[in-house]
Amino acid sequence: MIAGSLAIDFHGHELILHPEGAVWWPASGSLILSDVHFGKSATFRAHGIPVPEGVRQEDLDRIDRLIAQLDAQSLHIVGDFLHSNASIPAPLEEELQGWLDRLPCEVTLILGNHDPSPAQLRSLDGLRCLDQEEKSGITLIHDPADAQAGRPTIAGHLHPLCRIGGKRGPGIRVPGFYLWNSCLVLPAFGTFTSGSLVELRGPRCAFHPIIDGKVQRAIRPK
Amino acid sequence: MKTAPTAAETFFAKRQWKPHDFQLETWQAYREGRSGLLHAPTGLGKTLAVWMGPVNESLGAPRIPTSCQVLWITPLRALAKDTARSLQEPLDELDAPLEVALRTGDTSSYRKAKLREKLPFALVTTPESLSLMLTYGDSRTKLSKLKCVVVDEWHELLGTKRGVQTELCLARLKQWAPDLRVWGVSATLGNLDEAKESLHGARHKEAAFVHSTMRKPLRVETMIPREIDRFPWAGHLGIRLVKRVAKALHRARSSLVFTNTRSQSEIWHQSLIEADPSLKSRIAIHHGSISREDRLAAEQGLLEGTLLAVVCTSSLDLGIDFAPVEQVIQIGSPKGVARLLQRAGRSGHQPGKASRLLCIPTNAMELLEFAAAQDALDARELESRRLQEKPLDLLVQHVATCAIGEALDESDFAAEIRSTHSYRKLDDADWQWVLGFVSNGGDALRAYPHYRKVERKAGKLHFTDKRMIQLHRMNIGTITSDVAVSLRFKNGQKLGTVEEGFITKLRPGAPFVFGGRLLELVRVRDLIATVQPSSKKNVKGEVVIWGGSKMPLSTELAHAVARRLNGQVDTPRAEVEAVSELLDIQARWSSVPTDSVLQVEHALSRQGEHLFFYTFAGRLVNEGIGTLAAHRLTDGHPQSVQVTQNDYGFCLTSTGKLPLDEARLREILRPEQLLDDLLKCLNTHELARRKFREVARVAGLIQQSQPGKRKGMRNIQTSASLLYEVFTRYDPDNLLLDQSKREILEGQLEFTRMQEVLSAMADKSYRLIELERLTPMAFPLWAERLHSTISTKDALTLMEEMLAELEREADKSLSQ
Repeated sequence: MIAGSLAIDFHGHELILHPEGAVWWPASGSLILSDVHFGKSATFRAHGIPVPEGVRQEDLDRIDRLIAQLDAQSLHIVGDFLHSNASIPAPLEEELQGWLDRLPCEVTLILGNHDPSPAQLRSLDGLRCLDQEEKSGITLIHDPADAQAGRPTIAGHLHPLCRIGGKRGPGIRVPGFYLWNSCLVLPAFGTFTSGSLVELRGPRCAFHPIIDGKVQRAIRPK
Repeated sequence: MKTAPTAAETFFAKRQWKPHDFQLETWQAYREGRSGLLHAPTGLGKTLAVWMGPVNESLGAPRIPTSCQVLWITPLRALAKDTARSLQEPLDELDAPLEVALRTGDTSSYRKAKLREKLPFALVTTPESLSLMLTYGDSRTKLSKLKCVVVDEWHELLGTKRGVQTELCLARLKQWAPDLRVWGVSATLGNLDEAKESLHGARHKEAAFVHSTMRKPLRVETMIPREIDRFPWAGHLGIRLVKRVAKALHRARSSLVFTNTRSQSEIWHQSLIEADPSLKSRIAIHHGSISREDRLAAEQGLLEGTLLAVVCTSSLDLGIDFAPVEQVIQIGSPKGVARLLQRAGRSGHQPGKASRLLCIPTNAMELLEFAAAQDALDARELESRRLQEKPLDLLVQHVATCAIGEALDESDFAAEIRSTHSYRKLDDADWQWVLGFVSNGGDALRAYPHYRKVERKAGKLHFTDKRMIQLHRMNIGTITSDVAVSLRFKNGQKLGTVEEGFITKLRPGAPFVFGGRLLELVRVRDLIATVQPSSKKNVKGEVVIWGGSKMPLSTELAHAVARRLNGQVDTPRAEVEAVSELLDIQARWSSVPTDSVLQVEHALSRQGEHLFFYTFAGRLVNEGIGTLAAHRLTDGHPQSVQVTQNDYGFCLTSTGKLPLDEARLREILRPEQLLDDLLKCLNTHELARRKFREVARVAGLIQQSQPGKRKGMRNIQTSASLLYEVFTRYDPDNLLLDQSKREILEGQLEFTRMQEVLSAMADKSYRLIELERLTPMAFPLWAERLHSTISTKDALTLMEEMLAELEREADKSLSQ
């Protein structure tokens, strides 16, 4: 058992919700995460907005640690791995390539709206890019709005947050895993990302908040 | 020998007017080449006083100038049109070949392009638009013949970042046109001297000070409730007078009904219609969150006289003069003397008419506040505006702004910045930090990778990257628009904005009141809430609640109330008469608190022990001191003590013992180590994080949302709290973090005032009183606590029980 994690039954598949904000799928040996937004602060700086560096290396280190901890066979990023519609700046590209070269497993990127075009990503060696992927009965896709109704899907894009507490005050907003119809929407993995509140309405809705390094049991609509 | 009459003399003669002394004085000072500050009430010709100086000069010159001579800065862009019209009037009458134009955020891009080609004789603009003008390379040439800058309603800008932005722009313009005269116009303030220093910076000693001694006649009246609470509780909304207010509306051609909060305006708008259904189509509502269209419709209705009344908030404190408005109604205490005066001044704009103000108390203590406000008005003791000391976020913005137009010499520019009042004490370390932050993120060790904005070469600053310049221009200014959920009908019609926290608690179909309409929620998506008119009849919808704290009682008004309680003022007033019973009970059961001693009452109740402190320090300061006292009393374990506060004092409640011991109390209220202890007991980190949004927006870290221009900007949007985290972790020495802490201390906690209050308290004698039961002034503090800890229903029951008991005892006492 991984500390702070929570196992769920997702349409007959056992998935482990990891407190780092990723999903571990033991049956297929896959680590799935979403919305890293690598290079976001560099994009800001390129526009003349001063934001300090420091986040970037840390997020890659977190992925490395997860792969090592779980001994993952494959890594799947369901979109917005990068944060730059334009070409990847040279220093970023070098850093990424170095990381990809060191990785012990294969990497698949499901393209998200913030990722560069496949043509621009071609220069990266060892990164498989797809629009979506079918894997043992689960679809991996970026935007849950594009999911096929009724089909088990893992997606990202929303950066889901949920409001906790706050009967009298504003409460706090916490990230977590959002179950919506037949979709599991992952929280944003990147440190330099925020999110937006999701609606908890309808019978097939639930939210697993991550609080104090622990994935909590589901909150369901009242 | 008689000289030819000036333009002003000709114009006044045509109208058969006689200039006032202050107008003559201003014209004279202007002719002598002096700058100045004119202090005069609205509606007596202050515009002509400052305007005709430059007009006289230009029309009297051998050749009528063809370049831009006057910049007229107005704080409100809605005001610009009206101003331009009143400047144009004398020119038309004099057949003067001089042009007036405006340039604000509302000006069309076609007009803006025209203005880029050629500037008129006089340009009416806002601080933001002026800042933007500084970024164009040819502005220096075009404005080099500028004779005069007028800053209208300077009291409105004073003490705000927009005011500091104006100071910075003026410093730039003085470099471009060294003989420039600057004239400010201000309403009455407690610190007019500082207003002048702040406007004229290093040159303030040479500037003239013109005072108008004229006063606009003012009639203030308070509606005295027939029944007066002897135990006033601020928690209820005080709409008991609504029927009489509805009746009062019919007494005037049209009225402005001022409330203190947006929610209160919604409640009063609804209640007035309920009390008198005939008002339904004849009154409107106006506040900062309803859509621009609805606000304009309400303003138009007032101008044309088709509306009987508009219920509003401070959103109508400023703005065009609504000539038909005959009466102003103030719901609840205005909490400040200047605000009362300003609001009263919104009525009676026709010549010879008096301003009429009707005050509506929402609880008994407010009767005292209305009386005290009138006392203070008679004595002309108005509030001061606290000035902003060197806000670095704005300096970050301004350096980049100025470095666009031309390459700046670092040391000359530093001198220019220090010639302003706000940055007069800017030290070199701060200045170097700002230069580092706008150029490459910091010095050699702290530089941000791949970040270049303003180039720093050989002592020069220059900002040349076209794409970054475009982005910077879009973000000039200091006004932060709220992140809010936009309310819309299904057809897309915008109704206004509400806070995310309010709307996410509503379920679809739930009715609520907004902008005077009963609506129901359809859905919320991407910060847009779709709503429709509610089909439910006879339901009371929830009233929209906006966050933000209530205005605290100003120091000046608090002292004026204390003077009434001391009996230092004896002008008879009906308001004071009306609360005599309340004060009588207070005196019998305890003593009437004043500000010359510190009165502390100790009482037992079912909830435990209570200590009541009467500080007269305003809500925010009382909250701060209360929290501090709880922290010190419990050696850093304040969980066992609860704090409640209002404008008059605060209350500590504990299930354990609370000492009524002077030495101990003096110790917990000592002014020493205030900052350290405050930082320990308040979650300043959380507060500063919230404040960081504004700082980050001004420093250009957060992009202002540009309706319709959002595309392509998505990549560089982020939340302030995330940025705050990133800076705290990876650049903890960043001075912008310090600044948000400072701003939170001053803005949210009134730190300076807290310091003053505690120091004053240390010199006062203490009056300790053991109570048998809650006094009229203790009761509201006790009730406040119930309100914040248990459910509304239980609180009401408990309160009613307590009230019944106190009322019985009061009757007994009074009959003795």
